[in-house]
Amino acid sequence: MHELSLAQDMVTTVTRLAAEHHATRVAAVRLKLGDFTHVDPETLTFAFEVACRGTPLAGCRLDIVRLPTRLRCPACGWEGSAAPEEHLCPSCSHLGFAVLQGRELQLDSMDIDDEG
Amino acid sequence: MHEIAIKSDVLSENALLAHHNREHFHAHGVYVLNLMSGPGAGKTTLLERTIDALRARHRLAVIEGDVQGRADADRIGRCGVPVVQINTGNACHLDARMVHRELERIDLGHLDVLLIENVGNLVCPAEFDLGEHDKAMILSVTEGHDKPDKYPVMFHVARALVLSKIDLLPHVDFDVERATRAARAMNLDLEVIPLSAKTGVGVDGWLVWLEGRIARAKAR
Repeated sequence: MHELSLAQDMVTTVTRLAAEHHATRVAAVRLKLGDFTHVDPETLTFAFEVACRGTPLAGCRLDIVRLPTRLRCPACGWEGSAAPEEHLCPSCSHLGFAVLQGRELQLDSMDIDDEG
Repeated sequence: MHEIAIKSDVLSENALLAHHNREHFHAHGVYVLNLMSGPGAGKTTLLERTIDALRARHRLAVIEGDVQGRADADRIGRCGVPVVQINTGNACHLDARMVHRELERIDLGHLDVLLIENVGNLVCPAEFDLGEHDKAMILSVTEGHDKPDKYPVMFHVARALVLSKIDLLPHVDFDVERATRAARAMNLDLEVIPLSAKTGVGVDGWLVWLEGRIARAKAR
């Protein structure tokens, strides 16, 4: 259950940035989450809600934008979303893919009300 | 209401502390290995073997990460090297902050190699940089050759994969070739090292790899 510690770090970061922007309320936070991470979106959503309780972020919504895994064969340039069953490039049978996308775990933006 | 861009990695707090740890290690010329596996793959046994082999040439210390207890720290302590136990409580992994906190208790100035045994878990430790030079992971043949397909991130972040308990291969359906292929599919440069810490078969290959990594880090 590392989602809770990730959620707590998110709350810390967003709380600090919200204060810097003189926010009176943070309505929503957007997170880019790659599929090639061991982070479960549902668990993270729940953990975020729990981590927000009793903080200025209480009630803040978490919008998760999923980024599918994208693999690339370094030999022939084939791109796909998952390694085939036999782990070889479907185009040239090379073993081993570079992970182009899917490792993201990034706070992207937040929606705030401010004093102005 | 308006939208403010953040563009900040969730793990940036951990990354910052990991960077801080890395600077400490570099300043003292200490090589650091983060050893990860599921529970019971043989991390502590391999550590005992490793300590026996390396202690004549290097000054060693160990950080033991466990949810609770200090059974592993006691085992390593009997090897005669300094050991620090971290109990993570509810956390399923070590993070850079926990390691940073313990660095005060370790005399980096009189150390060459720090071996960190992470909490037994094939999922969470993969995401948390501790400031180590290398991540190595262990998969025992009793766990099954399908693990790289089921827990690909761990195999993606490791620099070396130890296939342990190969003395048991005659008794289990573990396809070494398939496990190796599956792990390398997500990690082009992965070094795969089959061994048995119990019988000693293959341990030399592990030590050669580790000595090479230590020498490389020291040369920098």
